Formats: sequence, C-alpha cells, structure tokens
Amino acid sequence: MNTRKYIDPADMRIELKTGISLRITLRDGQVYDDVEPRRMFPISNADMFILIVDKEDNELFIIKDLKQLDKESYKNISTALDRYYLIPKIREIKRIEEKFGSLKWWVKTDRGDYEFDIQHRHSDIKLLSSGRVLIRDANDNRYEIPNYRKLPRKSQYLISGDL
Amino acid sequence: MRNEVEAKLLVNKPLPEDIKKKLYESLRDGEELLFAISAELLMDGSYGNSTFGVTRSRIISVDPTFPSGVLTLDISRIKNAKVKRMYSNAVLCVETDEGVIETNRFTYSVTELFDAAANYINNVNSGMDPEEQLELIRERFTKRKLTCPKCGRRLSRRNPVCLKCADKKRFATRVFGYVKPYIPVLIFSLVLSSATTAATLIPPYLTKELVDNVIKNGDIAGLRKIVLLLLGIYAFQAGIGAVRNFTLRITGEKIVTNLRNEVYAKAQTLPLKYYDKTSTGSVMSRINGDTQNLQNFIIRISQDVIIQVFTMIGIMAIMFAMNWKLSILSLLPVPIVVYGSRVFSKHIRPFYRRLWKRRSRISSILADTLPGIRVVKAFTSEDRAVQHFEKCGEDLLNENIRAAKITSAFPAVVSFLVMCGGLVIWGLGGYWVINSPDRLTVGVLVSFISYTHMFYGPIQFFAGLSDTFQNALTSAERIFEILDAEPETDLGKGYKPESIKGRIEFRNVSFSYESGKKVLDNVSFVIEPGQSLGIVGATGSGKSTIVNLLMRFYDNYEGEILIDGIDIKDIDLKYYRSQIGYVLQEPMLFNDTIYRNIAYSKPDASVEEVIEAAVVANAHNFIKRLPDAYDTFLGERGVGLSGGEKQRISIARAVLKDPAILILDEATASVDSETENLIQQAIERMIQGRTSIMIAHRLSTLKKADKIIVVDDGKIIESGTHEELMSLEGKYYRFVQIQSLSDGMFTVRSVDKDEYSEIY
Ligand SMILES: Nc1ncnc2c1ncn2[C@@H]1O[C@H](COP(=O)(O)OP(=O)(O)OP(=O)(O)O)[C@@H](O)[C@H]1O
Ligand SMILES: [Mg+2]
Repeated sequence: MNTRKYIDPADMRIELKTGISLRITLRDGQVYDDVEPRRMFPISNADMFILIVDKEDNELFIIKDLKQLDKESYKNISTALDRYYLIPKIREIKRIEEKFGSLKWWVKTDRGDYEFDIQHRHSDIKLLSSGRVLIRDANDNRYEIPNYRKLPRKSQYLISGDL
Repeated sequence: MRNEVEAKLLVNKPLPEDIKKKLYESLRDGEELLFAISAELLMDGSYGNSTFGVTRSRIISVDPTFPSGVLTLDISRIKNAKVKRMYSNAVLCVETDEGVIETNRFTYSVTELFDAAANYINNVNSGMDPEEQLELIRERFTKRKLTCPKCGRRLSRRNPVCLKCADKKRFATRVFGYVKPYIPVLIFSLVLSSATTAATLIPPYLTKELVDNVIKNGDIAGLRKIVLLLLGIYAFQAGIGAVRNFTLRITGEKIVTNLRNEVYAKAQTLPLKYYDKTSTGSVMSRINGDTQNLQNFIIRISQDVIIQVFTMIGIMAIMFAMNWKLSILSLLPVPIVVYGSRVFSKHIRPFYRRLWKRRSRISSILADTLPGIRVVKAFTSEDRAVQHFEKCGEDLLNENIRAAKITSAFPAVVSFLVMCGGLVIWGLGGYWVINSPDRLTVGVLVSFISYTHMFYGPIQFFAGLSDTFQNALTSAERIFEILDAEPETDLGKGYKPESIKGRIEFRNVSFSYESGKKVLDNVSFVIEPGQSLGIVGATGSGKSTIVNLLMRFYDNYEGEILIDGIDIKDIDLKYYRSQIGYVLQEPMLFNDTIYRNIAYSKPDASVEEVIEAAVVANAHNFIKRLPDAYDTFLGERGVGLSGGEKQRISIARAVLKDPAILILDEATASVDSETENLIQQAIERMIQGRTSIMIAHRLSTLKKADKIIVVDDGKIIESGTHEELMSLEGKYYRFVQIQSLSDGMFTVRSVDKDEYSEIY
C-alpha cells in the first residue's frame, strides 16, 4: 500500500511561473499554485520520482516519471528543476594545482569557466562505474563529469590519479 | 574621492572594472556603498560576474542578464529578505508589496555572506542600529579573509599562519627526520654492505686469473688457492649479509613504529569535521599500510642507493682499467635507460594514486561491514556483502593489471637492452680475442662480461627505483596529509578558569554542517548554574547539534557560546571538555572490561568510586549479577550488553567524572518501563546540583527541568517550564499529548514530522 500520493503524469498540466515556481492543474480541475519540484534521486535518476512541495516544503504529491508528461509540461518542469539543481558539467580540465593534499581545479563547464578548491581529494571525487565522476568542492558545490573517458586527453591525464 | 570610498568598501574579492562602473554609476549623489558581494553566478545559472551591493537606503544588484543590467530597490520597501538555498546554488529573495523579487543568484561559496546581508536588511528594517548591523557584516567579511599569509589557505580561526606552513618542510627533509635517530645504525649497516659489495667485485677478477693463468698453465696449487679464496669470499658475504639484514630489519621496524604512533596520535587530535569527510577505513589504511610502505622505501633509499652508486663506480673503475674501449661500448645503453625511467615514472605515478584509492576503499568496506556483521546477518545479506567486496577487489585487480603492464614492460625493456649490450661485447670482444689475442685475452673478456652484467644491476635498480619511489611517494602523501591536517583549534590553550560554575549561554548561534542546509538558526538561550535545561524537538531538529557545539566538536559556527561569561573558544580545550560529562546518544563502549569502561572518564578513580558511580547510574545491580561482574569483557563497541545496560554504563561513566556540567543525549531505544524508571532515577540523581542539559525523548523525564526549549528545524520555537509550555498549548503540548496517547511506549522519535502534521 502506498501512503504517498502519486499522480499520473498524464493527468496534469504544468506551467512555469517565475524561477522554480510552478502551477499544476489536474484533469479534475484541481490547481496547485506556487509549488516547487524536488528530485528524490538527483544523482541516479533525475527524471523520476519528482516530489512536488509547497512553499513551506510540505510534500504534496509525487510524479513518478516526467517522461510521461506532455511536451510543454515536461519542458516547464525541467526548466524549474534545472534552475534548482545547479550541477555544472565539466567539459575540460585546464589545470590542476595541488597544495598539501587539497586541489585547485580550473575547468571549462557547460555554464562557463570556473575554478574551485577540492578539500578532500579522496572523498570528494567519486568515480562511478559508468565513467561518470561526481565532484564536490570545498564549499559543498557539486559538479559532474558525465564520462571522463570522453574528456580531452590532457584532462584525462590530469585527473587520472584521482579516479 | 572614489578611490577613498573604494578602499573602505567591504568586498569579498576585488570587483571587475565593468561591474564597479555599473555599481558606482547607479549611486545617487552622496549615496555611499557599504558593502558588496561578488557572486560569480548569473541569474540564468551560468558563471559570470554579478554583484550585490548595499547602501544606506538601497540595494543594488548588477547582473548582465537583467534587462538593464542593474536592479535597485529601496531597503525600506523590503518586507523580508531571505536566502533560498537550492542545490549547489541559492538565490536572495526579497519580498515587497508587489511580490517576491530574486535579486541575485550565487553558489554556496558566498551563501553565508548573503545570509548576513539578508539579516542586515531585515534587522535594519525592524529598527535596529544600522551601525551595529554593519559591524556584524564587517566581522563576517573579515572572518572570510582570514587566510594564511604564507600559502593563502583559508584559516578556520585567527591563527598566525596555517599549520601546514608553520611546519612545512620538504618531503625529503621530513622523511630524513624520521631516519635521523638511526643514522649510526644505518652507517654501520652501510659499512657492512660496502664490504659485501666490494667482495662481489673480486670473483670475476679471480675468474680471469683462473682462465688466463691457472688453467692454461695447469697450476694445481694455484687452482686450490683460488677456489679456497672464492669459498672464503662467499662465506664472508653470507655472514656479513645476515648481520646487515638483521640490523636493517630492526631499524626499519623502529622507524615505522614511531611513524605509526605519530600518525595515530595525530589522528586523535583531528576535528570531527575531518572524520565527517574521511572514512575511518582510509585513516586505518594509512596508519597500517602506508607507514609500512614508507619504511621499505626509507630503507631502500638510505642503503641500496648508496651501495648501488658505489658498486657502479667500483665496476666502472675496474672495467676502464681492464679495457677502456669495451667499457665505453658497454655504457651505450645507459642514456636510453635513464631517459626511459623518467618517462616511466611520470606515467606510473597516477597508477599508484588510483591503486591507493582502491585499496583504501577496501579498507573502508572492512571498517564498515565487519563491525556491522550483525546487521549483515540479520538481513541475510552475506552474499551481497561478499559480492560488493569482490567487485571492489576486482576493481583493484584491474587497476593492478593495468599498472603491472607498465611496471613489467619497462624493466623487461631495460633487461633486453642490457643483454644487447652484453651481446655487443661478446661479438666485438670475441672478434678481438680471435684476431689479436695479444690485445685481449679470453680471461679478460669473460670477466668483462661478468662486470658488465654486474654493472647493469645498479642501472636496473635505478630504473626500478622510480617505481618504488612513486609508490612510497603516494603513501608519504597520505601520511603527511594526516600529519599536516589542521588539528582542533585550541586558541585558549593554557587558560583554565579556576572553577566552572556552569552558566551556559548560547548567543545567536547559527550553524551548518554543510552549506546546503542550515541546521541551527539563531539559537539563543541561557542556563543558570545548577539549573537543568530540557531540549525537545522532532528527530533531526538539531538537538544533538546544540550539544556538539557546546562540546566544541565543531567550531565554525556563527554567534557565541559562553560559559560563565567566557567564550568557550578562549578556554583550554582539554580542560574545558574535562568539565563536562556527556552521555552520548549512542552509548559507545570499548572492547574492554566493564570496570575500565566506566573508569574511562577517570582512570585514576578508586574502585569504590567506580562502584559508587555504577550504583548512582543503577548499573551496579545488573553488573554484580554477571558471572565476571566488573571484569566482564565487552566485545567491540560494547557487544554483550543490552541497550538499556549500555546506557546505564555510559551514565556511570559520566557520573564518575563528577563534572560541573552534565549533558545527557538520551538514547531513543525503547526500554521497558522498569528500566526506564531505573534510568530516570539515575538521571535525577546525576543532575543533582549540576548544570545539566537533557535531550529527552521521554518527556516525563523533563517535567522537573527548570526550563525546556522546543527546537524545530534548528530554531527555538518555545521555551519555558513544563507547566508554562503546557498552558501555551503549542508544539510541546502536542508532543506530550502524542506521547500519552501512545501510552508512553512510543517516543517522539517514532512520530515522524509528516505523520505528525497529518494527525494535526
Ligand atoms: N555530521 C553531520 N554532517 C552533516 N549533517 C549532519 C551531521 N550530523 C547531523 N546532521 C544533520 O543535522 C540535522 C540535525 O541533526 P541532530 O543530530 O542535531 O538532530 P537531533 O535533533 O539530535 O535528532 P534526534 O532526535 O534524531 O537525535 C539533521 O538534519 C542531520 O541530518
Ligand atoms: Mg540527537
């Protein structure tokens, strides 16, 4: 038995208000205004099990699979999610400097160039079996490399010791 | 004029020119910029230059994605400003009559500054003194600026230089430091080694004699002499070699023991923050494996390198004396080998890092699952545990295979080159022997070949050295990482107030373990000496965190915590903690006897005292009934006792310490009502006359507390006595109701927040 409320994606229309705020209208006419989406699996499955919460963070319901939404709704909720979850994808690592076990990275990401510090090189760089690399910087910001094998050769060489 | 203003402006980092221009252009006449935060993230989520500035009357936000590039707003129009934390980023939301406006988007790197800015705006608007508020902002900014003057690393507090710089020597110097006390022994064994090495140089020469003179001339007496001489040399080598190996082994073990002790001692001083991020498994593998690794290297570098250099010089001298042309020929492959080993070491290094990481993952699994073996069995997941382990093992194996390809290929190539060198000498030397025997005799050729092979011994050694070196370097890095990590800051070292009366004050304390989530938000309360404070709140609301801060387990909080009016950060850390008795939420007992587990808090306590403490904690009665009574040996982490029994032992431990301040983080394990009564009694006896903080899940425990605070989501939402809070009919009242509903069998913990809000 489910105690959580799952709503069929086919039964709703999602509009984007401002920022990450959504307005969701159900087929039966019920309207959820000013609600926000949260991923329950932000790392392993970004499009499934999306929690809808109100402004006070109270759970309203769950959308199991975004892919079953109509195109427009999918686009709207994805935009909101992309704003909430800032996980820059690293395209290239230009330089790595090491200082007493902590690292400074200069990178090129899908959101522009950036530099950050990694404090614990062992725990803050995680290689998943798919070749995906999850990174957390000294300020707890997250980054990812979708597949390190697809990075330019020099970048691969630079990080190979930390994978 | 503008430069002067700029010099005074508070910023987290220098603003880019174009931003600065925009910012100053939007100022009105006479309007002064107070502080500005450079945010590095634009509204559309891309990196770029954006800035948030505050003047006395307005906020000015510069972001190229705004239609005009600038957004200004009168502070007086803002009803509320707050930072909305998202994932790896946050926005500053200001609420006006027209709705909510997002003024800036930023990463977690500057979230705390925006938090401070939001506070500033709200406080100024609620009528607080703007100058005082600005002072708080200034503090925030300067705190951020605390960097080590030498390396620029951020300091957690006002240390003169960071620890790493204070004690940063070069790798070689540091390794040498561990070797230094053993130099006489090492020199002794070096002398022995030189002797054996010198001895190895003789046999080929004797071979030459044998071939060219003795055998050729049928000199039987000479033959006997040379054979005996060779026998003597071999015996000498074996004997001296054994002594040498023994000496080295002992020395190595001593060095590694010292190093291991030092790493372990250092690991004790590391702050909890370090352990939040680093798995104990990886710390364990450093203390165990890496120190060993380094030992091997130290021995190698301190002995073999010197020996090999000597051997090389010795052989070269003999070879050149025998025949310089052949000698030059045999040196031909050397440059290739030298160049090759440089390339090789560059490529092998990442492998050792990767190998290390995989090995430490395996240690982590061990450190994790073996102590948790009960859970593994309870959920019949033995097979899964094995599979997981095998997968990590396989990963390590694969990496090892990849590394092995390189590490085996390289020496093979070197050997091949050496052989080729030998062939050239055979070929050319043989040619010379056949054509002009007077220039080169068979004996010289044969012994020359022997020397050539011996000569390549050191070459191969140096070729392989970079491999060992890289491996050792990785281990050394890991070890020094611990030795260099900043220990808990203890600025008040040495300051020990005569007595601690126990007045505790939290002043606007905010704290987060990680930037993404604020765990305590502006917590303030006071406990007078001798009073008891109860803390109530749903699970995860921040109760234990309050205690963690009071214990100084984490010191990167905002606001102040005072004991008897003194900032706790200014008191000697060990002294301070020794004044507090803390019963942890998860009773942590050690693999030792019950007696020593209780006496842990006061090792020099008399037996009577320990028994008395057990009596007060209501533990004596069950202990005396155990066959081994106080000598009962507990398993790892206290295995062998029930939850309630463990709790009472940890209470006894705190009682024995007789502290001025007592903290009790009540375990949530449900116990039967009789045990509950026993524990209750123990607690009541224990808190007599002491300042005490009780985090209780059984609210009945708290009825007698002098004051109760209710924590919700990191904020104090209610405070007062039991009666006051009951008549308030707020959250506390509802907690009590739920608990009496569930007949006292369930604790607050078992009612999760959501269900709770569904009930009401
Ligand atoms: N070491 C840590 N690192 C990161 N977050 C932590 C850490 N310890 C606790 N937290 C988080 O801080 C919040 C408060 O935790 P805390 O332990 O203070 O709760 P609590 O009120 O004692 O709960 P309980 O009643 O269950 O003991 C929780 O949301 C928790 O997830
Ligand atoms: Mg707790």
